[in-house]
Amino acid sequence: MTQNILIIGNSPCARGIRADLERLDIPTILILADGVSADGISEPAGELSSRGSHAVFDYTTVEGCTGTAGDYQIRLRRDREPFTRSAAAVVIAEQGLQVPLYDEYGLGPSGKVLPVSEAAARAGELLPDGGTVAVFNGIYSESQPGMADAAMECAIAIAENRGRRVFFFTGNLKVSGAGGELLFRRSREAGVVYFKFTHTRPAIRQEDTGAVRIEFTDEITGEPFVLTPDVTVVDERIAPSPRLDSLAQIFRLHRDAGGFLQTPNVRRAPVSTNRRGIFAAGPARSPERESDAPADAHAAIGAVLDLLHDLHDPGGDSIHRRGLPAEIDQNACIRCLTCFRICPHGAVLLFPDRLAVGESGCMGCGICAAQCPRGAIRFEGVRAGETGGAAPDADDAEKFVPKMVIFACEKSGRIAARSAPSEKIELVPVPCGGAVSDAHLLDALQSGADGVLLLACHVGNCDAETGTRYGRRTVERVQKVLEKTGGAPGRVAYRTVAANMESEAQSTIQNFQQELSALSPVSTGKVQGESRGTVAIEKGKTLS
Amino acid sequence: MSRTSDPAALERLDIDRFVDWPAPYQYCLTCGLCAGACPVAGIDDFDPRKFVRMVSMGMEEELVEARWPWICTMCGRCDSVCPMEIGISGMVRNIRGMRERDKVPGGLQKGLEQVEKTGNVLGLPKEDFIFIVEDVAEEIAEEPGFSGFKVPIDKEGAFILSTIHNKLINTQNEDLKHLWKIFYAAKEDWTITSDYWEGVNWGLFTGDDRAMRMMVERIILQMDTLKIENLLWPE
Amino acid sequence: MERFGTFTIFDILIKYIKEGRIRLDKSRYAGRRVTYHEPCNYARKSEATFGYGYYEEPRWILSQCVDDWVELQPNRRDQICCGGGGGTLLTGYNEERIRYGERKIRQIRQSGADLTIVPCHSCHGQIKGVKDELGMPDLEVKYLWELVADCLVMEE
Repeated sequence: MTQNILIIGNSPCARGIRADLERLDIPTILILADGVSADGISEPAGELSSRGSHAVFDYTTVEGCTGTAGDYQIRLRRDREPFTRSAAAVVIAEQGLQVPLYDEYGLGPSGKVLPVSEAAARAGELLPDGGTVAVFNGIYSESQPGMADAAMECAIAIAENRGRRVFFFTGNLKVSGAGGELLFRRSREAGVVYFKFTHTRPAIRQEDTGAVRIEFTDEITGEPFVLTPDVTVVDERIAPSPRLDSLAQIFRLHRDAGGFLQTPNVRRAPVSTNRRGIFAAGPARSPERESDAPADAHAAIGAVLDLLHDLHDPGGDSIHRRGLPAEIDQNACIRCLTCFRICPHGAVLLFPDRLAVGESGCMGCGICAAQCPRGAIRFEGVRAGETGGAAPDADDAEKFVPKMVIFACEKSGRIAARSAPSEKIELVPVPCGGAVSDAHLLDALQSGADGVLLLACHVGNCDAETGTRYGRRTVERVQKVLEKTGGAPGRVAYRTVAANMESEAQSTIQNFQQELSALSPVSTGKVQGESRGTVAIEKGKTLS
Repeated sequence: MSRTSDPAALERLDIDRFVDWPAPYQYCLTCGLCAGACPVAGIDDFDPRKFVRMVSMGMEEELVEARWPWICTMCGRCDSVCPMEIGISGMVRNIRGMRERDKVPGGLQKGLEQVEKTGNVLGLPKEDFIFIVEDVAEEIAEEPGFSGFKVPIDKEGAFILSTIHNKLINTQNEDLKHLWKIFYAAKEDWTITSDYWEGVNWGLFTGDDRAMRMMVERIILQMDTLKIENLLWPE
Repeated sequence: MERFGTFTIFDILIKYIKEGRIRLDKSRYAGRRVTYHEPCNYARKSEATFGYGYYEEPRWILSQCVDDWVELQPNRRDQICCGGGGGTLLTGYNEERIRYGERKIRQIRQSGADLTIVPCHSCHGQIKGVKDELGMPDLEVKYLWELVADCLVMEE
């Protein structure tokens, strides 16, 4: 198995990762879309470096990727020559772009109007001593924290020691990041004056000459002011590299609303993506500034080392617990590609003659098994409940206490509802809300449960990203089936909780139990099935 | 407060006007805790946060002319809640001190001038003061347990010198008695002075450090002359 | 100022009581509901200016004079100004001053007290000055040392 780590990108973060891996004697392959000179990398491109097995390929594009964590095959092209390299993991760290937000402020670039990065670079000779400068930051849309820092740094550089007046116009000034408040303090010490707009907006006008006139009311004093600054500094936004479009497609990565390669999911460790062994770092992951690069580089090194360790010793003491892998039964599979399409971890591999689960990439969520229309995927992750106790038949209808099965995601519902199991409530831990199939729900009812509840993660908390949504769809589908067959759709329900929502989980369960109490017991014949007794789900039960 | 006319040109503000003040007003986060704690927030559409903001923008004229610094009771609640420990009530006093003395509202300045001229706010001559004091002393002496009570005036070498609030001499003579009776009961070696007996220091309120100093110096002069070591300043 | 010793009224009263130089009779105000108004200058502002606020001293003295006394809420560092601070008794802004007094009077009313003890001339003047107008004409306001003087046990 290869130990190569393929790094894609030209950012300081990418260089930092490469340097650290080199120190650790882990071989790297650096892929640059442009030339190497700008990056200060001295090795001849396309060759292995003299310091060991470290290669750099410049003017190289990524064209495809197959395989799974520990054994990725990446198709590349340089000088119209295609070639392939294998890698245990891939780190994407393409440099972002800083896009001036002229439009947002109704301004156009001119000698008197320029973006933060340019103003900061030329702070010294930007304008004569004693002049006035307006800085715009996050007035009409929330600024990125990194850009608030950049704007404050720029304001300090302009204001310091030159008798210049810097007026800083902002909305929600983002000082929550490391050093943000200190920057604010320093800027105030340098004499920067802030105007914060929460319920009003300044009127910004640009003359034909390029000069800017700002009219506004200071919200604290209520005083109207006007300013015609010598120089106006316009906010920027850190945007993802345009190359991330094709990279996201090739590596089948989820993106956030801004186009970066990490969704705002609480389960995502610093540089992880939806795919095991594909990492996004630095400005490929989120709108980060250069000063954030070391932190992301360290996180990437940690993630790579963890992965290599886990691959070497799959049964070891990994902190990244994965569920049991799924397996496609080649005789039953009809190649409908449902699993390939829905696997949130990109772990289903497509071969010319078959589909297979890449074991090292499978996170064991079980969504594929639950959704496979043929029941062709074996998955052992859903097992019988924790305290499947026998409940005595309550013949006295007045004392009817409904029996329930709760399918609870191990990452949320199972923890929140850990005190729920009783002789009337069986808790079935599942690796993901998406692992629950129509058959699981119906089986539970047939085994004598009066109701079945799926306790899954909130959207955005789901480790499998889409799992909780699949869970909801499954429940809704079964509700429709019950409705059409004369049953009560209210017997199955989908609710979301987080692991720390114990009391909410309890009241959710109690409420559901109360709703069920209004229905008659299952054994009275609403749902056909065996006599009521033990509630238990067969181990690994799938559609039959 | 707000100007309805043309907006002011920002360039013309003297932002550094109060930069020498020790109060670190530039660190104001405009969080508004001060305004929430202030008993007089809202009057004249003013509050401490707005006050600090105007200081930080160097709006001297508007501040000195405003009624608000005088309506503020300088109770210091804003100071105790301010996360940046800015010291707002001290700045209010500074602004008060910047107003032309003849525009200090109400009786404060007049009283202060009277003190400077005559030694007390009332402009009361020494013999009248002594008359009032002895009159009150006689009344005390008539009460059971206080026979022979006398007020020691200008007693050299007394252990304690006590100042007097002018309103007790003016209209509320009855209230002079309480403390004196305690002195008598405790067999204290005490005295009051016939000059500069005034214990109220209105320089504190008008922001006038010079006047405040003058009054303190007068009391010290008395203590030096009478060789008294301890001062009780019940005001 | 270092040439002299300075006493606050609290120092001197506590000294007299602890040294046994005065004796106090708690029965004088038995049956009355008493409360204590904390002046900004002796408490919060003293703490801010001199690093020490006189919070507990007046309370101790009060406890030597009466058994049944109650705190106003909030108190100590968070107490609210009576409205007589900063020379407002003399600025001529009487309407505003009476309005500030409203919160203080409400606070006193909620405490159920019919006697308010203050150790400050300004507070005394203010609370006494607004109580009629704000609907507590029967409220009695006394100086702390007045209370002490009232409780003095004299040898005949």
